[in-house]
Amino acid sequence: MKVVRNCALSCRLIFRYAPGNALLYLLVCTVPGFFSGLRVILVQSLVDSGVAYAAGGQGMETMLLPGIFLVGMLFMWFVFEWLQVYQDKVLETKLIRRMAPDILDKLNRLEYASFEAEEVQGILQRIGEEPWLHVKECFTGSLQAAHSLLSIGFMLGVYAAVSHWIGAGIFLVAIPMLAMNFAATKKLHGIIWDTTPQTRRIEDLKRLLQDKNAMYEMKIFGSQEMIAEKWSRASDGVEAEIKKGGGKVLALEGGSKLLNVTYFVFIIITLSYLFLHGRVTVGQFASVAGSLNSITKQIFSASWTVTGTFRNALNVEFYREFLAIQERTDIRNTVSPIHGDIVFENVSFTYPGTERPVLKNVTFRIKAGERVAFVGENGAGKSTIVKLLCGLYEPDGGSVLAGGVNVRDLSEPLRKKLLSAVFQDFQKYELTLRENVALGDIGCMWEDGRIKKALELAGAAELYLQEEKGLERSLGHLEADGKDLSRGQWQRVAIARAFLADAAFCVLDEPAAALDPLAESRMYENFLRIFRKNGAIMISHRLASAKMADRIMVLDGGRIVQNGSHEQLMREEGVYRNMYLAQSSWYQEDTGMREVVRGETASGVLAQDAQSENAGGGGNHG
Amino acid sequence: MGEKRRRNAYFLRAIRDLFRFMPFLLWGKLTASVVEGILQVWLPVLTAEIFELAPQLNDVNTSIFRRKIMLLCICVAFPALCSVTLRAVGLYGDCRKEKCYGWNMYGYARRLRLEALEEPKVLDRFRKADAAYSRHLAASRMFSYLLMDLEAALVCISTFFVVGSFSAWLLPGAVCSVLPHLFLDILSEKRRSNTYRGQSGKRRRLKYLWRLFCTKEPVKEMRTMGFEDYLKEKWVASNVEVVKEMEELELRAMRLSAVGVLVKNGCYVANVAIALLLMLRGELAVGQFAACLTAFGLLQDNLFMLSTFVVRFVQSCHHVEEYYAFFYTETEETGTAAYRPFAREITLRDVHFRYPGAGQDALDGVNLTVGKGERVAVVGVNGSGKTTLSKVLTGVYHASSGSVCFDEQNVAEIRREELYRDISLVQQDFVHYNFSLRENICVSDFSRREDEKRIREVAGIVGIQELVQGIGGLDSQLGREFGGSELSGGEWQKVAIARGLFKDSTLIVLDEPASALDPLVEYEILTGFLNMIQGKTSVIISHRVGICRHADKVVVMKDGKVAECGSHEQLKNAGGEYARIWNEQAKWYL
Repeated sequence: MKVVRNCALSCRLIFRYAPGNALLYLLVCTVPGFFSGLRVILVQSLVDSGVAYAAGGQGMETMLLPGIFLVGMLFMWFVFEWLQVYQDKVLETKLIRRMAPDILDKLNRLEYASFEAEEVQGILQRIGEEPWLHVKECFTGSLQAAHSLLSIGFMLGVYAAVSHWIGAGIFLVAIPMLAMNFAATKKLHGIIWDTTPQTRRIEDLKRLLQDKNAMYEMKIFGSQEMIAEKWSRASDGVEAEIKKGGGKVLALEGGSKLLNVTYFVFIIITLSYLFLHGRVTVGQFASVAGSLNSITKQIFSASWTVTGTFRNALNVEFYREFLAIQERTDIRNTVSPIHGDIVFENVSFTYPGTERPVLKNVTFRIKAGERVAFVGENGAGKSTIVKLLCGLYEPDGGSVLAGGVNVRDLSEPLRKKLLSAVFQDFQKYELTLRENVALGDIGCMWEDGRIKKALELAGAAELYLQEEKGLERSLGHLEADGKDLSRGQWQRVAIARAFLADAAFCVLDEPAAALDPLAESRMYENFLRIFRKNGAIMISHRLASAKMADRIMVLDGGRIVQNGSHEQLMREEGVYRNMYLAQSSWYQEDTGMREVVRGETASGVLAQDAQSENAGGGGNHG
Repeated sequence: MGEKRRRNAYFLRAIRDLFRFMPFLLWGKLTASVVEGILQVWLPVLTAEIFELAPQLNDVNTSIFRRKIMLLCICVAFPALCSVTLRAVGLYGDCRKEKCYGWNMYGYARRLRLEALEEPKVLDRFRKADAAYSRHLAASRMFSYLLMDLEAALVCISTFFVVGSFSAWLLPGAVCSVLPHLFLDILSEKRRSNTYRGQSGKRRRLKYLWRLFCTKEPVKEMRTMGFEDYLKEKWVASNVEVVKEMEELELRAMRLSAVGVLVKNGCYVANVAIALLLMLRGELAVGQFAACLTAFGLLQDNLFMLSTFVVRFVQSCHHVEEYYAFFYTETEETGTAAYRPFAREITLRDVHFRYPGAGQDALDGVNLTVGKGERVAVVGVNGSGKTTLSKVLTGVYHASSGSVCFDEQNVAEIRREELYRDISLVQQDFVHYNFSLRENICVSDFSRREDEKRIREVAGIVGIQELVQGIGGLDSQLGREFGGSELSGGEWQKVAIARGLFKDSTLIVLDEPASALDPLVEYEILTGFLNMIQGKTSVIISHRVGICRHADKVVVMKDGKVAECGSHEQLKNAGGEYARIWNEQAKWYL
């Protein structure tokens, strides 16, 4: 049922994107289905009238007519075959032209949350990088399968017309044969399915073996043997699964082939018996016996095309699932914000599919132009605030407003003006340097001055100065002349993107993780200087960034537990003070940290301090 | 000429590997094909004989007729059964592919030079070789298509023979209906593969862009910064180029094949007409005429197969080349001398290193001594060569000039694995293994994976005891793709540090070990850690210069050279590069 439904879907899609070619393909694919059978009929009448002519010297016309027909039909046949091959390619290019952009649009209309959902990731992975090919192959494959079945059916019908015995045999043989063939196909899919976990394991090992960092660890740790062991376990698993199921597939296919062979032998024997007894003409005998080879091949290839159609239909099923993924619900059309503040009102949030609430009733306001830092332990919910702020998720309760408007309703240009971001997992786009920066504000793509300025502010001016191609140099491995950057350099490019965007608020999630001290310091200073008018929302484990903020909010367990300037928070006992002291202790020349750390009794004065303060802080807020 | 010789080498290697990996496959296929081939070649002859006999049956030849019919039964039946053997052989190939071809390739990949993985060319070769065996089953398909081709070609020849035996007039038509078409098909295919090869860069770009739309991190940025339209337009624009080329190519191929089809059809029609004429003139018996028609049909079928399989054979040959070309990637050279754990110091003398394809040296004459038991901190701006230095030091990168010596043993001359056994590592871009937590920690010294005490100890230092409890014990699987728990960035980093500590080594190299940790955790881990590595020689690369105060020696890298070297106090008082870096960072914390 699923197969029929998916084939229908692929037909619908093909007819939508390339109706003319689809119709032509349908024509050139199905009509030749009658040709093999017709050939049998024509050869038969040709031979029979030939025999009559040879015996009586008459009936020249009765002979010419089927002859001309035969030649004409064969001519058509070749033309159709030729057209079919061509149309197949044309369909592909038409789909790439017309269908692929639609798929991209659909991807853009998906809710961001979908991309983080494992299930959707699975679907996206399975529709592959060229989903239109699956659709095309399902369409052409099912038509070819239809062609094969039609052709075989018609031919067997022609056989049946020669003798009822042969006709009766079809039902006795053909139906169980097909059933067995399908069962074998299904079983084969079952095997492929069963080996998927092992195959994925192997894919994962391949990823490690191609990754330079993993290879470095492997060499140093001598863990190649472990990888080898895992590989051999997984590949043995695959082998065992295939061997286990393979026997059944072979038995079913063998049975089906045996029936097939039995039937042909039966046809030959019946035919020659009837021929010897004069109940079948020479023409009938010759045409049927002569076409047996061709029908064997057709049945053989039919089982392939039918199997292939099942597989393609399965792929289209993934595409159907893709089409069914829910689209985003944000309105994105509000044009004018009332004022520039960012407000979280009683925001609660739990990631879909998880239990633990990440944010609990968080309320705060960030005024236009204010610089705020969020501080907290790993997993306290800082990055979630950023995602909500960017409108990537809808909060479970409460609202996230920018300029008095729900951030998810802001129109696209407005949002761009309001927000830009450097995420912790910033992307390394394998494009040119120019594009990498200009993605922050596409409008500035050709404003060299601004791009260079942004790079300079991010401390990455050497990226265009040192290379001959300047801004046009390609980054990453995609182009032959491309060069990968170090992590710190990539991070600077990401920061340059944010500088270019020049939005009312800039979100910086761990912006300095890979930066060297000079670059880090310069970045903070640039933010102070350049973003004087702009607001910034910073998240960092390096509390230097917090220190330069106007206000610090400390998150703990999904709540804001402290709120105030650096000076204020340092006067309070609490998480922030502990963190700051821990971090600054590395730079205090006078505390004898060195001895503490080196000494044998290294219980750590500071760690103790921190603990007691922690307890005190907890008391205050509890 | 060299090109050709290399191709032949690939081909021979492919056949040899087939014998080695899948002897059953090879022999099964060979036997099935030979038997099938013989029967197929015989079929047109047999059919012709039967048809000749059919219209003039009498008492004498009826028994011959019966015998021939029996043979026909066998001829038709056997190939069908052979196809089951082929299926069995195919399944066998499937189940052995990762085990044999996969490991053959990836086992080799383990020995590549580390620098090689930086080269786009090598990465491309990797991708191609992988696709060649896993998707295209290159070697076994090449072999199958070769056999199928031979079979189809033999059938064509036997059909020529049959047709020729009836009348020499039919022979040119028969030959002409096959050869030009075949030739044109191959020509088209050659053009096609050339075009595709020329487009491979563009196609890679298209795929890259497409992936951006399907992956969460870029989508997050796209949505926030609003550049999805730009990327879409970029995709569409480069796509139009590719598609246009494809359309032109296919149009040309179609025209070419139209010529082929016309020639083929013309010959076919001419042959049918000639046969008809010959029969009318009585030079051909009716049975022979029928046999002729059958033979023409057979010729068409086999021609179709022949050209399909020739094209596929050529494609498989390309894949085989791509697979075996991978084995020409340089592997790591290793020395022959045994390694003794060093007792005094590691010395770098005027070390230069350059990445393949780079315009300048990443290390430009480094001189450095690391004493045994010393704690060395390496600082410097991004791109100053810190990580490269550490890789040269551990021996995975080979200095292009100068020497790296452990005591008096030059790294270039000692057996590398033995040296590696004495080194441990925490990388900046540490690896997420989708294995169990235990394996993630013990991967650094797998032979001691049952050493619970040691595991507990390192887990204590990095503070992951709760995590171990939380995810259900040491042996629970990590990585969401494999149904395990997913760790946060900070947690992964703790695991990576635990990994580095778990291995008992004389030298440990740490590259930004704490970048994703919050300050309290960082403080605890680094303190515990500094205690733990007492007595070990350690090289710590960090942008957090605070750690330098706990180092015995601070090395400041600048532009691939050691700019300064000394203790924290010395360097700070010297007022050079180090003092600048230190003050820049410390000012935020004082």
